[in-house]
Amino acid sequence: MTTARGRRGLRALRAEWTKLRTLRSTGWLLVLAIATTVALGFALTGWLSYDDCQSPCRPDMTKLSLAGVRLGQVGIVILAVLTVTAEYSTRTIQPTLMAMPYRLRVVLAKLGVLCVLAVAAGAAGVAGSLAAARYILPRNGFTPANGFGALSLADDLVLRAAIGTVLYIGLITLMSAGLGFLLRDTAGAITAALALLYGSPVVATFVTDPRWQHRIHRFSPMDAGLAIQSTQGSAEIGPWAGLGVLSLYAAAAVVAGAVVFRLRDAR
Amino acid sequence: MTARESFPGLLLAEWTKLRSVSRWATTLLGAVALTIGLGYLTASSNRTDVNEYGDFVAGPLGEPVSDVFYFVHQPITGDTTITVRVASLTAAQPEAIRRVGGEQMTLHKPDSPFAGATAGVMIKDGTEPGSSYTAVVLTAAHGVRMQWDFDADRKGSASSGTRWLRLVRAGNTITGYESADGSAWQRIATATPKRLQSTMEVGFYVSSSAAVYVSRVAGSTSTGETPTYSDAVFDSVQLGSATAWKANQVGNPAPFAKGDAPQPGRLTESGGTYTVTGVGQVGPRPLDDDIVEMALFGVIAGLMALIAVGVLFATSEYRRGMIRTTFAATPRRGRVLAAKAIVLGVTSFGIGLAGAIGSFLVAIPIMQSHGYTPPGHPSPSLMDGPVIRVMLLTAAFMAVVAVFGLGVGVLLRHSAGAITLTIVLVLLPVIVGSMLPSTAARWLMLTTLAGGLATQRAKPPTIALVEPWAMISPWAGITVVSAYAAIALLLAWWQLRRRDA
Amino acid sequence: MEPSIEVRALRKRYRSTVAVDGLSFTVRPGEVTGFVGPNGAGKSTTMRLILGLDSPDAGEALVNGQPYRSLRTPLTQVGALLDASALHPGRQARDHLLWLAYSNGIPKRRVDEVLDEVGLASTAHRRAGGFSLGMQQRLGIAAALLGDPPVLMFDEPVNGLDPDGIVWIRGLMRSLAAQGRAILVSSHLMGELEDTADHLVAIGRGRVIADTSVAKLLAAASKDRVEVATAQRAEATTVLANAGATVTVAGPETVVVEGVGGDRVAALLTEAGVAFSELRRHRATLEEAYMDLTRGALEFVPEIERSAR
Repeated sequence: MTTARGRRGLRALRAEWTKLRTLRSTGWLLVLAIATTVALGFALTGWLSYDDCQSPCRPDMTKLSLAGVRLGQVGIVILAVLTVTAEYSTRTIQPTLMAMPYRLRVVLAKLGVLCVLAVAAGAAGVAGSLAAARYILPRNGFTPANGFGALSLADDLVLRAAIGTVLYIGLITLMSAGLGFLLRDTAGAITAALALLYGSPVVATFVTDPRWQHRIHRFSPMDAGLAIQSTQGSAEIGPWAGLGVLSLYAAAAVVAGAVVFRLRDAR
Repeated sequence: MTARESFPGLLLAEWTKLRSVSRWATTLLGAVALTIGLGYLTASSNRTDVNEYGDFVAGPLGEPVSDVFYFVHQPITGDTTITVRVASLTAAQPEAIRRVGGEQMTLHKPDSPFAGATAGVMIKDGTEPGSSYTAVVLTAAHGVRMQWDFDADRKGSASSGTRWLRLVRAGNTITGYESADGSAWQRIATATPKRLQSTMEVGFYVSSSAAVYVSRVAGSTSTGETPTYSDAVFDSVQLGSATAWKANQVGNPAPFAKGDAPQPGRLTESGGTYTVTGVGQVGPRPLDDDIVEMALFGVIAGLMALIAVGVLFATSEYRRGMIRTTFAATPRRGRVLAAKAIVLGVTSFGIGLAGAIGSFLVAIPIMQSHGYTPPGHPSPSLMDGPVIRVMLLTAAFMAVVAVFGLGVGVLLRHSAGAITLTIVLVLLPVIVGSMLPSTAARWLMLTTLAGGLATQRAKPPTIALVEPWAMISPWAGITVVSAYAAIALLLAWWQLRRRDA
Repeated sequence: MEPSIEVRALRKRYRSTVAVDGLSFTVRPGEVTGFVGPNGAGKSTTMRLILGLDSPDAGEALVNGQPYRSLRTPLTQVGALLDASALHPGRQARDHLLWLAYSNGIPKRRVDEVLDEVGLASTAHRRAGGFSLGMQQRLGIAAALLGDPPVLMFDEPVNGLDPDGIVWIRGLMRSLAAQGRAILVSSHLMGELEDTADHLVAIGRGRVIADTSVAKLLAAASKDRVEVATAQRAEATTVLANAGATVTVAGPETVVVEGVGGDRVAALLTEAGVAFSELRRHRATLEEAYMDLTRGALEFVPEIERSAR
């Protein structure tokens, strides 16, 4: 990329990457995300036991082993939000915009660098979760003798679930950063992101009308986005459609945030 | 320190701090709006036709009941005594695992004394299902019980197999007795049923409640029922009357699958010994939904806002070093923390209460217009004991979680982390709990803030436990949450004393 | 294009306050232009508008002939110190300069060069959260110098510096100006600017009230004021006031006389037998000049003295 614009884009990326890598909290948050993903997945698969399983015993092991991302995403959300809102709370938004006055470039650079980190963390989390599941499940009775093969990425559905989970992490990163640009306030953006992600599934358990439960699950960012983890078709929305729903949330947040960032004073 | 700092003065100072930040005040009011708004949304989106299609009737106290059994009876006017000996009770033995409604399910062993096979004597206000009654029964699994009006239950002896039972009506009370041999009688209890006419149907009966099957796959619970039938043999029937017995099925039992039973109930008599086959259940039949709880659905949303304010109330002091000013004014840091906690707690309690009561007033009428009416869903009123408890405990739950947020905010000094930790402790266990077996889910409720959601239930939970937090009692829920807040505040106090501002 | 800052008819409102109202001035290369006015006059707002952080409601601000936001590598054209504490406390000082350098394609060695120049080389690896006010100022100055820009803007640069630091920065600004750069320094400490600035733009309530060289302004403000050192203050005041002069007390043993020439003052006092020890021409301070300006007592039409240099 040798065009002038391309060079400036690369410079912005390099600057944003330097900002992220020179803060200790970045590393800790990523480690937290990966560790909690694997830990929760480990715990959930650990609870599963072939002996206690009621017949017919066909639990969705893939979905359960990857469910740790429901906790791990917290670290990613915090990182994405802080990458944006800390600039406002420390007022480093001033040198940022003085160095890179073209604001859209700043947005894209931040999002780009965040996504790369998030996807890497997501891949590590998924790999760790699957490895943990492969270790535990046979010890809990889910052996080939009982009709259960080991979880393996060679299985199309498992591979799809794994890739989809990593994509999910990337999309919630975008959504959280977008909320950061939109709200510009750490507490507000984090509360909004967590409420969106965790609030709607809890909402669904309150609603007893199955049609509405169905609807909420279809359109809530976390449930729709993680539908791709289901290998038994038990989710309320199709796997890729679910990620599509989440993309809409992410796109809305990013667009709204970018517009606000572009138009408003840098305070 | 020469000047005596007044604690009320400190409270006033903290209250001024809280109310003077316009963003917080807006958020607090927003919490009420969110609670009521989302309560309104749930109410509007929920409909039911359970009153038309449900298998229950209205009991004498207005609550939903099941009144299905095979009754051998005759009308008696005035005071009377009926005595029988239950020679045997052969209870139904449903299969442990069965395909119900297309799904493989496991038998659920109920522990209600109104469930299972029962045989005994009854004095009833007519034979309409749902009418007032008093009975002394021998049950298959709970010994001898005296029950009346689908609600009251008194324990007799723990015997099974065979027993003498007696009901004595005198004026407007009925007393139940039991005996091992027919001569020495032990009194069980005295009942004052809701309706005691001069002429009552008096007789003996058998009922056999349906077998409940449950399937819990990670994420959802399904239940199904299959009817059962049980036999009992009665002899030594003594009733001072020469009129003939009438025998009929009271209430409509659920249909049996083909080949399971010939007909709902039957009676065969031979020389004073009556063999009765009964189907159905006599007892309360609560529905799973708790409309009070449903009306309070918005509490979760309002709680998010309260958590944010609680955390910020602590962490804003650390921004720009305001904490030094605060502690310079009041060197005894524990008092500052206490004042903050009290001000925040009381304010949040008020906000929570406003939200809860507002939700109730908005959502209940809407739900009632959507089919949530008696007999399936008795009308709740703000004056009812359980409703008052729900309102107060829910408001307390919200206040205590806000105070927990305050404590965590002081400990972490980082608003993002404190808000996240609190929200995750409230919401994640619910999500995870619905994916786990019920023992694990229950344990999660007892050990995390999510247990506080139990405060919103007005009715005791039923078998089909969809929501994890319904598995523990409201008092357990508020205790868990309070413990968290207390520990957070103690740790925060300890930290404040130790470190520099 | 000569290095310069040009502000034309700039206007900005925040809610109901008009912070800047029709501001116009130019900053030329080769001299230090002081930007003076009390707190709240609109100095920081003007600088933020020049740097594109806020958008003006009307008018424009050009740097080297272009609006800031269209500059390709702005840090190599304009260096600015606005808010020295705009730092992430968890980031090392050197890393802060590093990302700034990368963002504009400035080579890494410049980071160490400027750190050296401002005297922070030994604390480069300390996190900014542990920096004192003075260290933060130095870091901000380093950031401004990073791209070796021909235009520099400093907002209250001596804030938090100890006397050594103040002397150092004064010298730095003068040497940068001598190199042909355009320097804009703002301060509400007018005494500070008196010794540093060559040219002055004074603003009050969002408007330019003077745009001239420091020397000329002070000369005009000094007028024919005469300072008299005398122990008999009251008598001197009476005598001189009777002669039609305006007399102000300036100290325990000093009065300032306006409206009557120095010789005449001497004559009057001697005639009246009032003893005095010293008679000197009063040199106005920038504060006094500013007070006169805002009072309208001293009128300076903008641009009037802009003769070619």
